Amino acid sequence: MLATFIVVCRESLEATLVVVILLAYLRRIGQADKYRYIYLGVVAALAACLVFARISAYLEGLFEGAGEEIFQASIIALAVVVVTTMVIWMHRQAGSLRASLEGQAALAIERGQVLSLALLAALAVFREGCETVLFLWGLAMSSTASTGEMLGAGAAGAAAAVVMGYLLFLGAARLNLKMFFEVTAAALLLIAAGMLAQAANKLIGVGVLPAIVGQVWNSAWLLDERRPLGSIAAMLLGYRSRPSLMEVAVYILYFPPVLFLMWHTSNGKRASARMQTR
Amino acid sequence: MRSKAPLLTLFLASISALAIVLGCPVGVAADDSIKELQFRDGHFEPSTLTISANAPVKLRVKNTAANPIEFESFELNRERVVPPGQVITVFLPALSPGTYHFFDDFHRDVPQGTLIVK
Repeated sequence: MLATFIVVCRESLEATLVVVILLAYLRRIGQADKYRYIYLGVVAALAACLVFARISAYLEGLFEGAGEEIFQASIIALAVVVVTTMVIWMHRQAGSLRASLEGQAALAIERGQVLSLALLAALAVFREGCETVLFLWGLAMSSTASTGEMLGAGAAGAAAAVVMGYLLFLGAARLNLKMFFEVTAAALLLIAAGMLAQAANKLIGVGVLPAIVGQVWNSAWLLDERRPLGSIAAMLLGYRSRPSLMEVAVYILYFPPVLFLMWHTSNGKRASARMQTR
Repeated sequence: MRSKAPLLTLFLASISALAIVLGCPVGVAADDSIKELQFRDGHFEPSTLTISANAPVKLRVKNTAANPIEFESFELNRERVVPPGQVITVFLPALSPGTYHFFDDFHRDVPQGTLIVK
């Protein structure tokens, strides 16, 4: 539940930031009458995300038995790859978002292509929305949270992000965004490692992967996933009280390559040339 | 300029370790013992299964009910949906002696089943 909140809040804030930067730019250059194109883009993208979510639900219904487990493990792994890539990329990219967005918006207005403004907003919202759908899909399959709980936590996360975005737009708040992105990045990587271990667990259950050692330890007496504290650890850290060696290995081995890619060449050598939306 | 060599070594080492771990042959041979479990009329049958320790087991779970069930066990770290009229195979690694409970997560009022490992 907490994991859902973090995922939705972070993804929504990324999308909201793009919208806020575009709106603030239009306001600054005295083109506030063009706000509606931004809103149009946002609404269209949200509709497209719902279609994507609907398709994913349909796809899952096609599988049964061992096939379903393998399909779920693949989706979880895909979600982990997408989110990890996003976190690494954001980490390397930090800082150049605003300038490149404003440049693109200026170009659109100069050429009289106001629909490009809608497109700028729509692309950002659609990308973050698809990431959210994919990650939540993986999360739903690798945890025991109910749909209702996830919907509630997701709505709260989106609301929190929109409020933060609105305060930024009003200039009422100076949020420490760098801090926000660093903390949520750490949380997302821990959640992703736990999901990857859960994908391994599914594959072990259908005999595709070996457990190597069935149960490396049993810490249920100390921290039980069925109790509140244990379930929080399970959601946020991927904690398992009775993991197999394969799950532990997958969890641990996930980090070195990811951290390497985050810190390697992160010195801004090549960040400036990109014309991306964040 | 700081050397990136240690980082790169760590990177390559962990990728290779992951490849080795994921590539190991599945430790469950074809002739592993198979245990049958049925779900019918709101209960597991038999309600207690006994297996020997330190040998992998394939648990075949058949759902003869009209609704899907979810075979779940915290102790065994397993969770699988069984559609009505279908059989699934749950791979269990060698377990240490003890008592392991399982239940139907879709119908929590169904009595728990027990797997005894000795």
